[in-house]
Amino acid sequence: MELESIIGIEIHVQLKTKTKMFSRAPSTFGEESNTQILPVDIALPGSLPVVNKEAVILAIKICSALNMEIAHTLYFDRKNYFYPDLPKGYQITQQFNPIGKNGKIELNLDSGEKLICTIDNAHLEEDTAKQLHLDNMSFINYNRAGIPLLEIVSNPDLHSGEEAMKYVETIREIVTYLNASDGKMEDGSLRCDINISLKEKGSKKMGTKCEIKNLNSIQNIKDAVDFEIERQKKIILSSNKVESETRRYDEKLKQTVLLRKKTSAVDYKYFREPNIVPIDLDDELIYDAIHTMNKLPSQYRVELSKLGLNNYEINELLREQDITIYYDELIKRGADYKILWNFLLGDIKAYLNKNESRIDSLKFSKNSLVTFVSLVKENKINSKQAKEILEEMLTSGKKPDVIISEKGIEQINSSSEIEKIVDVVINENENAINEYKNGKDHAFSYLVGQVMKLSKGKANPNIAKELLISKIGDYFKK
Amino acid sequence: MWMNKSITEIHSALVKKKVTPIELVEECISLSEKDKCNCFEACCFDQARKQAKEIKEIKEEEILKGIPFFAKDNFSTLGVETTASSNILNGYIPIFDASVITKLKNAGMILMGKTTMDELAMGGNGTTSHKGVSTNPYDHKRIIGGSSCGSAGVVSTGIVPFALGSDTGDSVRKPASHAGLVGFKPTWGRVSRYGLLSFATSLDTVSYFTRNVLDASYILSYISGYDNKDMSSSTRKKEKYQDYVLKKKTFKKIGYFKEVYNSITNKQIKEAFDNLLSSLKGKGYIVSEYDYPKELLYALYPTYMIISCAEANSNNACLDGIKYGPGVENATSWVEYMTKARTKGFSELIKRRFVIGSFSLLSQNQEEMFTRAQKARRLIVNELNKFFDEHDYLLLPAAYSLPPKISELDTKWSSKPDFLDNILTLGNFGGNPSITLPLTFINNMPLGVNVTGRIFEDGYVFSLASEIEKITKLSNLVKE
Repeated sequence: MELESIIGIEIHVQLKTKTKMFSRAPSTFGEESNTQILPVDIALPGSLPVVNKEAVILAIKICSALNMEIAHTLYFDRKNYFYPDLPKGYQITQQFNPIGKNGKIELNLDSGEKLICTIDNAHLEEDTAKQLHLDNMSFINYNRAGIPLLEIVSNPDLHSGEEAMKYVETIREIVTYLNASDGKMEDGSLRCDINISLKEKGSKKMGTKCEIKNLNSIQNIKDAVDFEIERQKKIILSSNKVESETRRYDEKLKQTVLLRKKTSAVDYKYFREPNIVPIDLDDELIYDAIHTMNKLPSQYRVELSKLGLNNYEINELLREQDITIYYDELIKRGADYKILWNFLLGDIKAYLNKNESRIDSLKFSKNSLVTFVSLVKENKINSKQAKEILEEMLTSGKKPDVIISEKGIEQINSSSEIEKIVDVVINENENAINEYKNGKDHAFSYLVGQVMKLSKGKANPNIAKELLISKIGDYFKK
Repeated sequence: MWMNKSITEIHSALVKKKVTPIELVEECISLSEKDKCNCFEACCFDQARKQAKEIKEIKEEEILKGIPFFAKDNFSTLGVETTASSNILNGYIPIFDASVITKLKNAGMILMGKTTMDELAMGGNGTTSHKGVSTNPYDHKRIIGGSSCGSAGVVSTGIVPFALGSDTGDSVRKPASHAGLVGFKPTWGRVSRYGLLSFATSLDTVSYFTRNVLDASYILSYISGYDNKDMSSSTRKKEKYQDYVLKKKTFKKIGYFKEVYNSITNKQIKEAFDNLLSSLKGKGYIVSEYDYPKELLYALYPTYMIISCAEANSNNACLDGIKYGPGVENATSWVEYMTKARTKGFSELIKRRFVIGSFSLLSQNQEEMFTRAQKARRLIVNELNKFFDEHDYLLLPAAYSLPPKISELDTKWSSKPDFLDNILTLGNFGGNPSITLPLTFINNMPLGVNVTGRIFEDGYVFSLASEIEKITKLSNLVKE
């Protein structure tokens, strides 16, 4: 029996708004417990919800990036259930008329293939409070209660750990590039629930699904899904039945473990939230939201690939939006794409990481870096000098030409000057020249090295090489 | 004695310095202490004295300044215990004022305290408060009606000239009839509900009692208007509602429902109503009978019960004992904690409503019950709007019998409810402005008449009510 895995993912994205979904309390993360609250966040009797426009605008941007149909009237519904982390006894959500419907995104798989994953809907709702259990006591922190969430519900279009991982990674990239969310799985600002079931290949009959929760990194998604697929496969192949369960991923055990059995479904008694009359979203608001969107990773991909970067280079660059924007800006100012990539993702990023600083705190100007890149490109400095200059730029912020004149490390590009040095080297290295003649390549490198040494590293190595080749030719003709 | 006078009379005495706010407050306190109707929850007399002493001068245009009032116990009041007369909220002291309380305080009115009510505003008799039964000052063996029973009591016994209530089915307009008062329910959305404890959101309306129509119109001018804390509050421009009364801006076409009229069995009520109609005709009003569909009249009660219980069940889910209200000892799990808090905190009548509400929202019942009730509501309102296409006012008796005796009350639910008992819910379904005012006395018990108008025509409702007041000559009634 050949089995096929069917995977659907629900992602809860905490929106990066100043205030909460239905109150003006700040939605700041990491503050002292129960300080970021107003009456509605702890459901004080008589308090009423007021929809946060900023959250709606961010949701529109995300929906647009996910190629969704955007609702022109907003409706909210109540999801009724009792739980200690749910202050009102219901959650305000959008059960019947989500803000976004019928979306799709393209996933770039490691094989180079592309996969389309369709998205059923995206709906606005509010986060719950956070519980903390200690010994025989429980604490509730309502700071999180009411933080805006956009829940993005995929269709079951995914089939493997890698696909699931790429899906979440792509959504994460989009929401962070839009500056709509911190998108940090480790902080819970992006959380996903993954539904997995197995069915016989070609069969229409769906298998029983399990839900995996508490995934706190992108890598865990892949590992958890792959483990779960294998677990279910073993059960089915040994003629047992998969039971409907909620499971969590245990990082240490590297396996999914049972959280609870899913018994009969909870009846949430949904109905329209009567405190919020339907809100018409005017075309201008939607237009403005869409037309003030940051450039998306997918747009960068197309452009970067046209420039000539390969998939690996693109992925490495896109990892950080501020670096991508910086790169994009320098390309516009005429920097060479390849040399810039090498220095930006190499020395500069290493420097930033070491100093825990961000790209906007670099001491030198963008134009200085453009100048630097062209010095390298035009071979006016060699790679050793380049490293030295860049390091000085990073620490002092000085312009490259200033550093060059201060340190006297300018390259010798004059053929006649280099020729003099080459002549000396040729006269003093008969053995090496003979070895080179006998086909020993390292001998040539040695000769180049000698030229550089005599010129104190200032000779343009390309000119030196050309001169060496022609002079050695002359040498043998003699 | 000032507190048995109208707002406008007290106001002019204050302006002329014949009386001071602190004297009014002291009079109000001593009257409160003689209460025989069981009107009160927490009072804030010290706070009121302090506020009164701070008032130095009252200008001609400051109509409400310096005048004491009470609020039903389902308005959130800063620093003053608010329980909605339910044990589940015992000891709960709010940290914010309801928007309507803020507006009245800003106008200089003095909050004296809170009045008792049917628990969580569910009930029409004024008998289910955690503080017991409220009685009718005209006959203490009879109910005053609810759920705003305490507020009706304080206005009718002359303790204050105005008290806030709330009206979800007829919770102000029915007791107004039983207590010889003006009871006004504005258009839904005209007054902010922020801080009013929700019973059934789509029907709940901040409402109030006064002893004459002009006073009621002044109050609306102060408390209406958009509130950015209540998304359902209307952005329509505020009006000077007293101008409709003072300048007699009125419409002419009055209608009443034939089916309702024909069902009136009490001869004295019918006679009083007939007399009113002919007086109005004599004043140039066009009065006509209207055939409102009978089956929709019968649908009023079940539609009201399902929608209000469903919304109430959800609105009161926040009362779980965790965040406020008396907690629970020795619970070993959160399920046990909430269950104990709610079992102990609510009376049996409330639990019955929650069960009905919850049952009607369950997915297997929702289509047949909740959705159907909403469809029925739409039909009821569509037909009401058809009526208002041809008429400016709906005029009907506010009650069809004397208030029942407390000893004869039955908490069992009738399987064949009389639509006459539920006719005022029409105004809640449609969100229409609706006012009850005294029509007549029968065996020394007052009985009211009700005027309902088109939405946002609150001013025109006042103007007809004012005309009726002149005909009946029943205003400023006080039973001491």
